[in-house]
Amino acid sequence: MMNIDAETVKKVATLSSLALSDEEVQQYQGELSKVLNFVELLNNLPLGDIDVTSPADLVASPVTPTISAKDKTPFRQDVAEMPLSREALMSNAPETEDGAYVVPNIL
Amino acid sequence: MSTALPTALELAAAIATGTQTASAVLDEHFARIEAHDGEIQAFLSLNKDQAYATAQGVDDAVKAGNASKLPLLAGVPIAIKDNLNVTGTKTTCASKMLQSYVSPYDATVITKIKAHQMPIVGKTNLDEFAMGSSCEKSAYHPTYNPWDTACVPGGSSGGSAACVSAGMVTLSLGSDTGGSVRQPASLCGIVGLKPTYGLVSRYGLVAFASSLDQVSPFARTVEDTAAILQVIAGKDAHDMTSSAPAILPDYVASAQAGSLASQLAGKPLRVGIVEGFEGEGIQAGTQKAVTEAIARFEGLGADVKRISLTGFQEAIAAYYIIATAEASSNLARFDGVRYGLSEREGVENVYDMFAKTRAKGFGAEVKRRILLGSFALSAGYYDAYYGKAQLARKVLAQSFNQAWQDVDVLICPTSPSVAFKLGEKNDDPISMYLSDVATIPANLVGIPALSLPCGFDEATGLPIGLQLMVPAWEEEKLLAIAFAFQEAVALKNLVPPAFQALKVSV
Repeated sequence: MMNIDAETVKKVATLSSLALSDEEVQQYQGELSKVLNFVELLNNLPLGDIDVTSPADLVASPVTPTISAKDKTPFRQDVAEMPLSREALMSNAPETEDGAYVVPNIL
Repeated sequence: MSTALPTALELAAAIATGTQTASAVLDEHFARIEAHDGEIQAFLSLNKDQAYATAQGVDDAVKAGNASKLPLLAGVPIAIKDNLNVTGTKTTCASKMLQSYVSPYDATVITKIKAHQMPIVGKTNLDEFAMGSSCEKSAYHPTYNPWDTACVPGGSSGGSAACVSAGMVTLSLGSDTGGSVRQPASLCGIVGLKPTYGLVSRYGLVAFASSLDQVSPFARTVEDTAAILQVIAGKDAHDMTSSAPAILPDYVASAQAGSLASQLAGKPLRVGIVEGFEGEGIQAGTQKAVTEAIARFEGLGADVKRISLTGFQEAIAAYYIIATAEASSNLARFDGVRYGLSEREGVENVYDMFAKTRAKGFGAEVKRRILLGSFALSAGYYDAYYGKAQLARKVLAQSFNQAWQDVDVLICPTSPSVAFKLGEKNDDPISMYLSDVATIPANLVGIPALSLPCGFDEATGLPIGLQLMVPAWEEEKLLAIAFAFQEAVALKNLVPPAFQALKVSV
């Protein structure tokens, strides 16, 4: 059984930049433990039979490209394109000044 | 069984031949939306001005004698899931985080839809950031199933499924990360197709889990599904994971009588039934409908055998690690700096602003998945969770590859049950997650999969969906098999009786 303690939930919340109330910490402690126990299903599988020789092997490609071998590593011509204007890109910003995003104190 | 409502291809033909104008088609569909969406609540916003401008352009072309030059599906109204960017419309992802976000650009699929002169009627409801299987996790309101409004339409693309089911449009787009198009298609009695990963560009789709997400269409017939796939498919320079062939196959031609026989070149169709969908956890009505579907395939001359796929039932466990890990990374962009909600009152510094903005903007399910994903990727747990899940994905891919030696298509129920009641699965995340047990494997290995109606549950009268899966890039065969089955089972263009009164003329 995998049971997550409150400290772990708080640590993960910090990693996730999520402010959690004490009630939420308690709630997620229970729910995440449940989900992680469910994930134990994976231990039913013959995972040891898979050949992993490099970390890249762990990132499974969703599809073996069958269209063309060239697609395996996609290349494109290095041609300049007109991007969206700065005004369009910044149109949804909460606060801007002189073409820059404004945020609260960093330090 | 079918209804009097026209299909998308029938509408397109009527518009192109001048028996009906695109503007009148749009009028009739907006009339249906006004009559029915109060009850169904499929839409988050409507887009009348842009839609009528597009329809007028089609009508002008017909009037000028250029009907023969109109693209496929010109003038046919379509609805778009609210996680796809359409310039000048709100794209909320059904989240408070993006309540006032207005898209400054078009997703590539939207560019294609605009080039085909299809009026976009509005943006549809979803579980927040596409995370859910019932459409109840929208931050705004739930959507209701047209077959029984006490039931959910499925999710996450519940709004896009419900509006097609209720005849408010003939076509819509959703996104399918673990079954978010196929499961609601099943629960609403319509067709949903998740294409091969890479066949349709993801550019402009708000990312949930990038190695699994695929823009996916809904329709009420296999023929219409083929037509909208024809419009949206294709390699895109803006999505380096798109890898479709330079010249697309003729999908519309695949969904026609005789197409399957010619594709199989005289050989019998080899059908594999995925083991593990009998007994506990699978509703009796669903089991019965699938048994009858197997008999239909035998009636079509297919060789049917049972196939055991190692890792199929465990795929859901791998999915909830991989999808949440990718989501925790993708959703890091919602930080209150460049767009979306930003909590500035009483914050100490920028890090406090990040944490409070995200606490306020995200709903409980989204937070749960971000936390789970961050946990699975964190030091000390990475190998035990994320690494193991990726290995499970490889095991699954190997068992599919082995199965393709023996069969052309794999079938199973799309969902273990028919549409469930609102609130029924809200207490326990695991029981909600389990409604995607049959759909998740196709996302993990990237193959195309389609759900179409195969019967009705006698106890509830609700529709049941059958899922068909084929090897990557074999959409033509998938559509041909689906069409042959649709004709054999004679369930097409289904609209619930309560939504048939308002006519659409062609």
